[in-house]
Amino acid sequence: MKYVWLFQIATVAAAGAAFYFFLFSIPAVLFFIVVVAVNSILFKSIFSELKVTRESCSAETADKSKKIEEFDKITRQLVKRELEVAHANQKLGELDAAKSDFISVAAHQLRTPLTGIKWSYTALLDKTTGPLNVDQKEIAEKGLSAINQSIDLINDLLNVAHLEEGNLDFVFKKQSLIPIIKKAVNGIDLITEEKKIKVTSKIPNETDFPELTLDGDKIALAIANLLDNAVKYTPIGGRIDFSVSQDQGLIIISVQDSGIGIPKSQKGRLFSKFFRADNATKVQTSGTGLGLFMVKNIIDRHGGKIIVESEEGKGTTFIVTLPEITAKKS
Amino acid sequence: MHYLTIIRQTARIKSILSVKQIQMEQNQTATKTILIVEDDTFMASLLERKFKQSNFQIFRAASVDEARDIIKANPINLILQDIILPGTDGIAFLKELKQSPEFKHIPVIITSNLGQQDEIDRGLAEGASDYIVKAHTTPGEIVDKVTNILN
Repeated sequence: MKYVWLFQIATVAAAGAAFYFFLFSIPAVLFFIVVVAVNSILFKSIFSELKVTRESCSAETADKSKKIEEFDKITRQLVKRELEVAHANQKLGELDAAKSDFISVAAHQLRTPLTGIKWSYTALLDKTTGPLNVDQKEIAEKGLSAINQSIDLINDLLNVAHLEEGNLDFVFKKQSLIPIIKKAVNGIDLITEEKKIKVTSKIPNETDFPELTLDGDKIALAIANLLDNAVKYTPIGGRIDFSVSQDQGLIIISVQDSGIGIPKSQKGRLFSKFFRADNATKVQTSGTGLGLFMVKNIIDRHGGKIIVESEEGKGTTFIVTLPEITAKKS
Repeated sequence: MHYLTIIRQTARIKSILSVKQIQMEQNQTATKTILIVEDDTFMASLLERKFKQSNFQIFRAASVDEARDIIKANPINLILQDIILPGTDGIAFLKELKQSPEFKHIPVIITSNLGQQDEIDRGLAEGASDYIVKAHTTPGEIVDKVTNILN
């Protein structure tokens, strides 16, 4: 019985405990439920926020990586383009060198047989093989003159090719212009005598004239070309007036002839490559139309100017001006 | 009078002898030896002809190999040489000569139809005494140049 009592007490205690537990657990459970609910809501919003942030972050990252990819692509394209340009430049350089080599080899190959012919005529003319009769001498002289023309043509073509490539070497040196001019003027003596052309030349004394910084060979070539033209296009018995003077820091070289002149309509093209005026081709079949092109280039390189005054049938005057100061500077 | 005549005669003979001696010396100095290195036999023969007219002794070589053999076996006063030659080219031979203690004193004149400024500059930079573009000159002018250089 005593155990029933104990059982009763235990049951009551358990019931009491259950009661207390129950009594206190409802709010606890409720609290728990509320806490869980609030937490879940809170967590949910935090999670959703985090999710949004994460999503936006990943979108941004994707955006950025896309941009980086694009940037990489452009960089790769640029590098590729740069390589292409470098390659093209190299090719151009090779082509340029090949062109230059070709010109050099072509000139060599053309000159070699011409030298053989030139030296043969020279050997005949200097009587290495015995005296010549008048006809033989004339033939040999004509042959030699034709060969020299061909050699000059090759040189003109070479010079023009170099001028166009921009690598005709100019060697500027301080020197007197006068001996160069005198040599060029003396160079036409034979032909002017033959054509009975009267030549007057006003050249100042070397001592009275300033030294200029110039490329002597090129200036000689330019002056010789102007004088050659004057002789070529001036009829028998005509005249050539040549003068060199100095005025207000300018050196003025003038070549005036009483030749066929230049048609007004063609004056503008006179310094173009390969151009020959209509009346010029009628008088002289030989000629390349390169002379004046070269002359202008040479004068330009010296900082000078060339002008032409002409009347068809009456004559032509070429006036070259070289600036004393610019020439000294270059 | 007799003595005077003898003295005069002796003086005359002496002066004649001295003139002859000078002439002989001149002839000796004129006999210079030139080596022409040129593969174009026709041009080489025209040059040789012209040089011989001016009392030069001429050796001819059509290649650098032949030229080497000639300079080793003969005293040469001056070399006239082309650039484009079969085998070794003229510029390489010029370098070789100028580096050789035995031959560097021999003046070398380049005669070539390569006439671009850079080619001329290169030849002169390698030690050539002169550079002649064949098409722009004649054998007579080459002989004059050689004579000037040797004098």
